[in-house]
Amino acid sequence: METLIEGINLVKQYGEDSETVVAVNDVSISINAGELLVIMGESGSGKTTLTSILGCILQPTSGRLIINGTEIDYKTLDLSLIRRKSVGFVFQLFNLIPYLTALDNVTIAMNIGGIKGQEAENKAKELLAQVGLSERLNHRPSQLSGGEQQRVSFARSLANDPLIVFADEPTANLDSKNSASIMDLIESLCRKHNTAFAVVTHDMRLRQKADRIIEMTDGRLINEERKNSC
Amino acid sequence: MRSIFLKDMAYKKARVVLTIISVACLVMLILLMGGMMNALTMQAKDYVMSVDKQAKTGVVWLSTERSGSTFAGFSLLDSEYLEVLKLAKGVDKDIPLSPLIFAQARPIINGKEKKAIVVGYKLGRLGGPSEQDINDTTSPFYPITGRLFQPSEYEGPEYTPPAEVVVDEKTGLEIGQTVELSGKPLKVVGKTKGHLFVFDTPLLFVDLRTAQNTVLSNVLYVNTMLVKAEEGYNESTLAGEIKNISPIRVDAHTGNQIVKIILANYVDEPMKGVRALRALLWIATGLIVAMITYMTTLEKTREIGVLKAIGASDKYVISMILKQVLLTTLAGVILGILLAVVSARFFPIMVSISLREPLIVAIITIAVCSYGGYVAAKRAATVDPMIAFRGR
Repeated sequence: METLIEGINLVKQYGEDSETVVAVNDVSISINAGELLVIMGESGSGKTTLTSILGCILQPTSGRLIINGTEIDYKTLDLSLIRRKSVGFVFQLFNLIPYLTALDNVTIAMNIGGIKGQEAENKAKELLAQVGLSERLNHRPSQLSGGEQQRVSFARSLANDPLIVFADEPTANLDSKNSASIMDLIESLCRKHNTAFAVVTHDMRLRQKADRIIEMTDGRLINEERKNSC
Repeated sequence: MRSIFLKDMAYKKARVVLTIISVACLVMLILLMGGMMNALTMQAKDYVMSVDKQAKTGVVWLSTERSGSTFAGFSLLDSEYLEVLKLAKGVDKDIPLSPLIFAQARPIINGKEKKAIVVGYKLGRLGGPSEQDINDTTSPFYPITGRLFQPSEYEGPEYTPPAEVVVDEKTGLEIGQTVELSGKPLKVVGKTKGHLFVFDTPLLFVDLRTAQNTVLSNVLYVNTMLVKAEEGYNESTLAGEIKNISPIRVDAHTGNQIVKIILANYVDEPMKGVRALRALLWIATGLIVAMITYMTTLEKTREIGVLKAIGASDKYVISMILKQVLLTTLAGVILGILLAVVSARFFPIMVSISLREPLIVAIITIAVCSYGGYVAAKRAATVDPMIAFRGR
């Protein structure tokens, strides 16, 4: 299977000397195209830090990151370009822009990625239809439920046809029913778009749907469970 | 999709409107201050330039030696003693010398003491309107309604001149009314329009003898003598030559020098504070816009973090904020210009806003506010996209 992202000996330290906290400690990991990867672990185990490094939001203290065969040179490369073109994000707190409608929240991501006008609007409508929000296009986040906001967030993450979507505890702020619905949505989007999903979660239900599960403790990968490939 | 920056502004419209109003008020104040200084400058120049224009050739203004001119210090001249100057080289032979009194006074107008400038001159000489100015649209003293005062016929100390005055319409007096000057009633026989000295001080034109009889307590002196240069003769040369004629000891200034003296004494010096205040207002405008932009961006830290996390570059964030700053400032500047133009009509002293002034104010205000906004936007662009994850 094609490797999309490869992190080699990744380390992320915060602070200096006796104050040093090692959030990610010598982690090597690869993520394949179209794979649904679940990252589990206790709070503070380094899951979010690892996904931030893999998603090119955070620069590691040491180690190498290869995305789609190209090694990231942090000194010369504009990381925002990679985030625009290759990566999508879904956040725990939804993080929709409050003054934009659901449609605009998806369109803005396309505008940033260079798709504009009617093309962007049509594509945004299509994505929102896929997440079941065709009837809520012109609603602002404050007019949507938590589950609906997270669906918009998933539509936004797919706006620029990324190679991979990183979802950071996407169900943590949702009730059980909405969580289950979002789990189904993740699986369906992963299979339909053939986009890799790396989901940080504590929700055991997603284990059933995942292709691979990795567990982290104290910044290290301690366990890897491979199930099936999508 | 309408631009994100417009949607953001629409979402926070109360704040945007308040910012626009703040900028507009400051721009209005800046323009009114500038307009006030313009009006002062115009008024400071008006009388001297009018006399220069009336003479057609150059005029030399004589005053007591080292007085710095009538407009800056105390000057008293014996006009008869200076009569010899009419024979000097370069002096016009038709109207060689024009005795003049230009003095601040406190006449009683409509029962109230008001400030005014009394201009005493001889009809037919330089210094004030003449008969031919009544119908001459090119005359610097046009328009004149009514008639001019009766000229005095005799110049001795016992003589009582015709008690008549031509006033500027700013005094609010009508023809036939009376104005009291140094306890003596003068009948208004004519009116001029727009002849004011600095701070909207109206001019009262009277016969020279009337001026001596009132503001100089009947002393038969003048405070200025105007020497008209003959055609083709340079007024600066004439002024230089008069200063060297022995034993006459006077200050001799050209019209341009007198204008500079008036501007220095009545406009530049008193307006120093206003100019400084104007500069401070500009800084305040920039700071207000920068602070509001900065405070707004602080509130939007998470939004900016999210935009950066989904791929927005620093340039995108800066441009989004700068567009808001530019639009807000532009709206504030336009509103400020409109408010200034409207309020100038009701301002207690004359305000003259030129066409160029709003343009300059707009350019400087937009530049200052853009710089303030840019500093805030640069700061906003440093937001770490990690904030999108857990809000910290």
